[in-house]
Amino acid sequence: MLSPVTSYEELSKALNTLLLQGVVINALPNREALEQEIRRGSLYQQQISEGLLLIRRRETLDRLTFLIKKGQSLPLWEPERNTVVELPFRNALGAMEEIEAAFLATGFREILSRLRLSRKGTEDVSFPQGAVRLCEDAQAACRLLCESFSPITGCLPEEGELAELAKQGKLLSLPGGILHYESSGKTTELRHLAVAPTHRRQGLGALLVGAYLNQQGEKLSRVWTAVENLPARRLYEHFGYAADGWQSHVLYYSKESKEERP
Amino acid sequence: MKEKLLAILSEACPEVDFETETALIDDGLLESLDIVMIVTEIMQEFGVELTVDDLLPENFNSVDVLLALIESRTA
Repeated sequence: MLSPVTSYEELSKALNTLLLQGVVINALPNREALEQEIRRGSLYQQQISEGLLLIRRRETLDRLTFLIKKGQSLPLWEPERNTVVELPFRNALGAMEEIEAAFLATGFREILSRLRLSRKGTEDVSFPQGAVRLCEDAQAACRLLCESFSPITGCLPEEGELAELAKQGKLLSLPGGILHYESSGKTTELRHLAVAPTHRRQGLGALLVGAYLNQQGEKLSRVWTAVENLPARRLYEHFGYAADGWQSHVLYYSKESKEERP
Repeated sequence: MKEKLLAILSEACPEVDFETETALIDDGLLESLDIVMIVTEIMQEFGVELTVDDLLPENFNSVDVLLALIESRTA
């Protein structure tokens, strides 16, 4: 049974006990983020003999973090709601393989396979960037991102967050296209690149990436992209990105389709 | 102790030169998931108890910072 997490101190005791035993984990627990979820009343946990499941509850979806003791796997487990879980790995699934098999046996299905591309920083880059500007219209950015990315796998910022990102200069745009990045220290991550269907095949993606690299090019840049999105991969490779070994499988459990099964 | 720590780190991320890098997190050389892997190895190898609150990126920026964290728990 899922129970709401009401105290970070209680949760951290459980996390520490598991850490001491050695765990396979799909996301690093971060105190600040967990406390924020607890304040919102959106963090739930399920203790299992093999470890701990943490759920971040959203309106229509639960997002799952697991800590499974090394050498063990996930037990048969029925999610209460539509649930998404991401399994990141480097080079090979390794210890994640058995856990992924258990999720699939539970009724999860893979909805996205992603890989990460990296590009070493270079000084004095000067790519063509056409009419790319800092985005000032967070509403329009939000619309285009929502049209372009899945609400389940898209990791989309909310409109309020986009307004903040625009103020920070982390949204670049031109008519029909938007690019969102995050940046800290010596690394930067291209988070979202979207071009409206009516504006595709005009090189807008290249102008946006070019402008982003002109601004951030001395930093190590990373981008996650769908394995099957060959046009995007070709675009990034054109700018010098290459696969760095990190991959992830996104698994989804749909309550509706489960109930439809005979 | 430093040699043992370097061995753990190099096994987790063979492509990184841990002896010279001093901004492992800021430079993006270590991922958050690498940290989890490294922490469990450190706890087993050195017999120290690190907690979830120790998993701050700034504790993993260099071998020396990480060594100081371990030593503070073994003192």
